[in-house]
Amino acid sequence: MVNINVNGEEHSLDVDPAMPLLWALREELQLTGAKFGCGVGLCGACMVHLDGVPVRSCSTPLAEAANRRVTTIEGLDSAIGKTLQDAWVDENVAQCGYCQSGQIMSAAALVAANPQPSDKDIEAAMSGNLCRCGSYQRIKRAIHSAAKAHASGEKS
Amino acid sequence: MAISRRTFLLTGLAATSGLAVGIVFADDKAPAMPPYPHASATDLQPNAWLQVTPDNRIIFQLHKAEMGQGIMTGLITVVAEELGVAPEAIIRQFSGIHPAYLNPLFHLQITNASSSMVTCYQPMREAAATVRLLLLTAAAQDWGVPVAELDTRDGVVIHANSGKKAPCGDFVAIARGLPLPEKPAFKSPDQYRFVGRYNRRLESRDKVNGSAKYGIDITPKGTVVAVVVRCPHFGGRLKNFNADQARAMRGVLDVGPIDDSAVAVVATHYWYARQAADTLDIEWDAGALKGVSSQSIASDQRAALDALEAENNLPIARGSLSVEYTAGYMAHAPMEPMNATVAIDGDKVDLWVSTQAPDIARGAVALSLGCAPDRVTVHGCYLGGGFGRRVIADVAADAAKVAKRFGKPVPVKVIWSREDDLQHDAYRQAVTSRLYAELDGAVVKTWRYCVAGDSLIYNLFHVIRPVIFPPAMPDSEVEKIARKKMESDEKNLERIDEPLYQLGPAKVSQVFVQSGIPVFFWRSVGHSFNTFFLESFMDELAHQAKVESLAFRLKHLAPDSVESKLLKLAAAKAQWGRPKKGRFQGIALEKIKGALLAAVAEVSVRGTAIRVHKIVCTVDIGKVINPDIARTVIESGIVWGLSACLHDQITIADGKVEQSNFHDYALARMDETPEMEVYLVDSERSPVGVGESAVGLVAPAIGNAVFKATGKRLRSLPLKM
Ligand code: FES
Ligand code: FES
Repeated sequence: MVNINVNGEEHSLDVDPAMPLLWALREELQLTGAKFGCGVGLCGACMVHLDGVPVRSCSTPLAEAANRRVTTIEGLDSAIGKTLQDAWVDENVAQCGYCQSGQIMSAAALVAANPQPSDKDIEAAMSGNLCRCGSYQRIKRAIHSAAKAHASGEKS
Repeated sequence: MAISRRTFLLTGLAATSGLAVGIVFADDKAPAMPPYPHASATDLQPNAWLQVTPDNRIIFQLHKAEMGQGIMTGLITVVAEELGVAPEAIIRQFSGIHPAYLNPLFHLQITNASSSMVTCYQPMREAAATVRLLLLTAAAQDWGVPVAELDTRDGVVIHANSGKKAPCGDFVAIARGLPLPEKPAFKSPDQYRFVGRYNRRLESRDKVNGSAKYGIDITPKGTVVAVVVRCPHFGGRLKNFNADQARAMRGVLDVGPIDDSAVAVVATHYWYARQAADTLDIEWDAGALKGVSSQSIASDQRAALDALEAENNLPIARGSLSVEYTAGYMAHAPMEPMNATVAIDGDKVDLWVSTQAPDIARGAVALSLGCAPDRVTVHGCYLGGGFGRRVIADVAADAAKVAKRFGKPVPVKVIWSREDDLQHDAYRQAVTSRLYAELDGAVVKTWRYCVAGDSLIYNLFHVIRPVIFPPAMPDSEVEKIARKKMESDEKNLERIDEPLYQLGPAKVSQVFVQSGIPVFFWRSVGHSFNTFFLESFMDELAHQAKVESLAFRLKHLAPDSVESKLLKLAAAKAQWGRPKKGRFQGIALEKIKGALLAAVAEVSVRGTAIRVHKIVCTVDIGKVINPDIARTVIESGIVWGLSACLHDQITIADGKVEQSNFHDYALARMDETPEMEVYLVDSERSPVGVGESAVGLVAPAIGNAVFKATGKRLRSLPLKM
């Protein structure tokens, strides 16, 4: 049994503690927002927060999340998270959309740590997230506009 | 290796406009019309797309795959305009399979070849205008007023003269009994509220909060998960395997072969299945492609071109230019790995799959199970990318075979890993091409093109086999037909058959060198390499003629053509001839599926590193439905093209793919994505699709800039200094 807290709810999971967090979320808890893209830490589609820190859930054993706070896209309800999601919609970022949960989780961690990121900061924080649809320029724009909106308190 | 060759003449511009048409089947008769899969006894449903309920909901059936290209928003914007309601007020559903949904270009229910807007624009307008007119006619009867005095707006029928209003749903019962109007009138463009203005992707919210469901997210109750270990050598076979360890592992429910080249592991969870699969001890027979490599394929192609040239015995004029270009294999690598879920319950089969062609997927499942296709229900969902890959139903067939083998009435979900995806794709074909031209001063007098490579059409007929041939047809017969169809394959000549420039008469030859590597339609298909070849060659000719490359292109275009306007606009927007210090510019032109585009790339080269700083792209895609969504898709095409020419490459060794994941099949990341500017020009042409636009344009624009920067002409894809 592994005890984890996901999006504020406690769960006790009867699976191998070595199972990657991604598959526990998707197959045990039916939280399918975090996506399988590469399985080996190369694409960022599976990004979630562990105690607020972005991690690749495909490469994080469930045991490592035991007794810690996991946040997935479904539970991203911070003010900055919501502002980012709105900015994503306004900038038409998502195309197929498959990578976007992971992109937003990375962006949320970035802006939480660095409220006014520069282009370079954004590139450094986001280059671990692949988008086969090439939405990068829009992501950059959305992060800037969300950071701005957040700072001016429009949405927070 | 099998070879088949053909030469023909191209005289003047686009002399062969009949070339790039879709598949037409011999037994092409009008299909019977069964009831709609979403048929209702109470709603107004005059066509396969729209329905109005008595409680005033408007429901739209999306029969196209929404895979990022924005067709859901595009089609709904078109119907919303005619209905006079906001696009977001329309309820969206994924349609089932029905003959009304067949793509008229391909006679399959398929989303491909940037064909959705081209083929659906008119039918969608008619569908919506019909619904509107039926509702108005019903209201006119009910209220005893002339139809011409009525209008619909935001779901309400309005009689302006009397101020009378009622929800559209109130007239559904009467409207259901009315005859279909012959030619319902369309809104005039000056009345438009949405077309050309509506810039919100309808499903965006679901895609940013994790609620959008892709095939891989759909898990019906009781689902078990399987992985499939397939012979890594194309055409190879399973010799034997030992699964003792795997069978004893946690969560494992079944291990065994599903066909002559694959073993499946079924478990309660994906990770258990994958762990167990990694312990399998399998012996493969590498088969006929043993020893085949990218190098051996390229040298076969060269030899075939040599033979072709010797046979044609063409003279080489003095001062002419003759060069060879090549392009390697590419994988589609959509972000959502291949997956499918099949549930067999008695004689009823359900299939959940992200697919561009539900009828091919249905056929593949039926063929694998030996049942009639109408036993199989395909459930729609979003696609985590398609790019041509999701026309192929291999993973749906896998899921059917595993479910059959497993033999329990529970859903079986097969998930391919990224490694499976990259190693068992059907790839963008590798080709070798030779280009030749004679100049008369600064003008091209005549030119030649010959290409050697695999045939897509040959592979296509194997892919669509389950829908077009009877199940009992022997493989040898399918093979014979596929070989025959190869004779009409013009895919390796795309763009060459419409060079855009006035280059005088051309002699075009092609030879199919069948490598045995599976190949398939890959975003922009033949344009993905021929645009690079031809546009780079144009620059080579300009250099030889000592004319500046933009001026040389304009010399070969009609002065007032859309092509020259787009080139000039791109040049103006990019400050052509005045790049930033240390940067160099290249230009290129593209026409794909009716879309015309020009681009200027601004590039710097340091050592062997090519850095792309900026791409300016000008575009004519006819009447634009959703301008900002069109721009996003063109940006996507640019990044795809960039990824393809700077990174991606699939190489073959010993009949198998050498790459396995994103570390060795790298995709462009944010930090190397250039600044992009996309300009849509006003156009009165009917709308065309944009899904494959700009992909082919990027490599030549970059390559031409690299030549300016270094004097080195890059003639292979991907570009390497
Ligand atoms: S799936 Fe985890 S990084 Fe790709
Ligand atoms: S939106 Fe398709 S992969 Fe990013």
